[in-house]
Amino acid sequence: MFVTGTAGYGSGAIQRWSQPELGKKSEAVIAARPDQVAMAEAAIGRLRAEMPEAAYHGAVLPTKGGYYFLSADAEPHPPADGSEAAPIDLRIDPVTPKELSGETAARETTGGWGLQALHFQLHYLSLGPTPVGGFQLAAIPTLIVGAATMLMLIAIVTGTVVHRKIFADFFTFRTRKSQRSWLDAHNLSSVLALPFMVMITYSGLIFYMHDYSPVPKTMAYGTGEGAQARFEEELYGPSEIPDPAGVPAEMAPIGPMVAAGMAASPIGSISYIDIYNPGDANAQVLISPTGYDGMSYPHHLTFDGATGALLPAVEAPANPAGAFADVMMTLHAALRPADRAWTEQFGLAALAFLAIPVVNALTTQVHLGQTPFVPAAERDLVLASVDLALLAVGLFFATLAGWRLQRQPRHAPTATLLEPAE
Amino acid sequence: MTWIVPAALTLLGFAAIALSIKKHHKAVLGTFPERRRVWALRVLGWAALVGATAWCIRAFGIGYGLVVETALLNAAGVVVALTLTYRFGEAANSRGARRG
Repeated sequence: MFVTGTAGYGSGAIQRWSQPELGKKSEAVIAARPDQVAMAEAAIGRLRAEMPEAAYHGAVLPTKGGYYFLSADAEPHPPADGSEAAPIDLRIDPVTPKELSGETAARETTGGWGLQALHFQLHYLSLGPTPVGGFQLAAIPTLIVGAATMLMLIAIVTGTVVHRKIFADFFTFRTRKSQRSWLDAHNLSSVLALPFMVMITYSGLIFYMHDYSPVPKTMAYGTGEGAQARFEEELYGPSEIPDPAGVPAEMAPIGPMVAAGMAASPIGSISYIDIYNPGDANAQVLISPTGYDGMSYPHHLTFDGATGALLPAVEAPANPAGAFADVMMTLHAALRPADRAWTEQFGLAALAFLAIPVVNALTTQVHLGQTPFVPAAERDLVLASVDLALLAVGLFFATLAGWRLQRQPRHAPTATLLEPAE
Repeated sequence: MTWIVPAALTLLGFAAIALSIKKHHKAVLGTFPERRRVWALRVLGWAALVGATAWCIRAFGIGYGLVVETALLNAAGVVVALTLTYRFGEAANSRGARRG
């Protein structure tokens, strides 16, 4: 959870690193700065021509690390006879704008998003609710993650109380004093990281709070049909998406709404467009301005699809926040002769991290071996930065392993983890 | 570059708070501080940290702002601690710490 949660912060970059074909093209497309208003008009215009009345129209614009093409798709209203109606799924070249062939031209991978899911869904376990008696508990991975998070929170809070004195030594770092130096480094890094640790642990619990403490919810809303829907409506307010009025209506042009979205973004761009009930008097348009990092979309603007009027903002639900526990790693290390175990673990970690860029170089066309030899304009710096970061972490562990070897040259391993303090 | 002002304020804040601790004051300025100076440094330090946080929230919004300020706090804390160690010597440092 610790490792995958940390990797989750770079999931966009790792996803792109896993699909080098796709990343470079999207970078070239974004560098060309195609007109987003024109792209949106092209995508939505085609959907309106092909399926004027539908349950949903949507367009995803090319983003850093995302699609290099313009994606447009439409969901028809479900036919009354229960049959399946065919959706539309188009991939359009953002510059020409011609339709691309069906493939994405990128390899299959779970990539960065897979690592992020591993952080809170774990693996090999059912994601469905866990039946206990007549009662439905949260999914098993959710419960495991919750137990680990709770332990982490207890450790942080009790640790802060127990170690109150470390705040007085906050700025103190004494070198070359063996155990004392480790303790100083431990104090400094832990006190600095404390606000973040409390935030990430507590918010991780809050994220699943109704799964971890289901009783109040069950008492108030019951367990029967529609209980969850009633609960969510009361919690988050009525669904933003109106039911179709059944009255056909002319849609307002998408261009001005896209322009408003671009104006609301700190980097002047939008990420995607959702249109519910297009062609209906109750149509609603969601435009998502792109966030600071060029990848995320923290909030969206809502428009009336028929009149084009901006609707009042609805509070966006809170962002997922992760939680982590490194208790297991410490336990593993403590169970083995301390000196040898540290050297081995540092060495293994170094090999594992150093191997990734090597495997990348052997299996893809875009790697550090060729980065210096391509013209500057064609260099894929996002991919290179992921490789370089992995190399740096690998070298860091290799340095630690080498330092351990040098410091304790093959004398009999001691079985204690802690040496007596000075 | 919006982060430069709050970064400077955060560094100033931590430096002032560090100087309000007697052993660090002795290491940097050679004397133990008077009570009034300790309080002045504390107030200045915390005010700078609050100011930096407010600046970040104004510039980046509450969500990003608090995250940016957390990162600045981390960086400034390391800078102040390592400056004390490597610029002002650890001898003065460690003598004071034995007492605490």
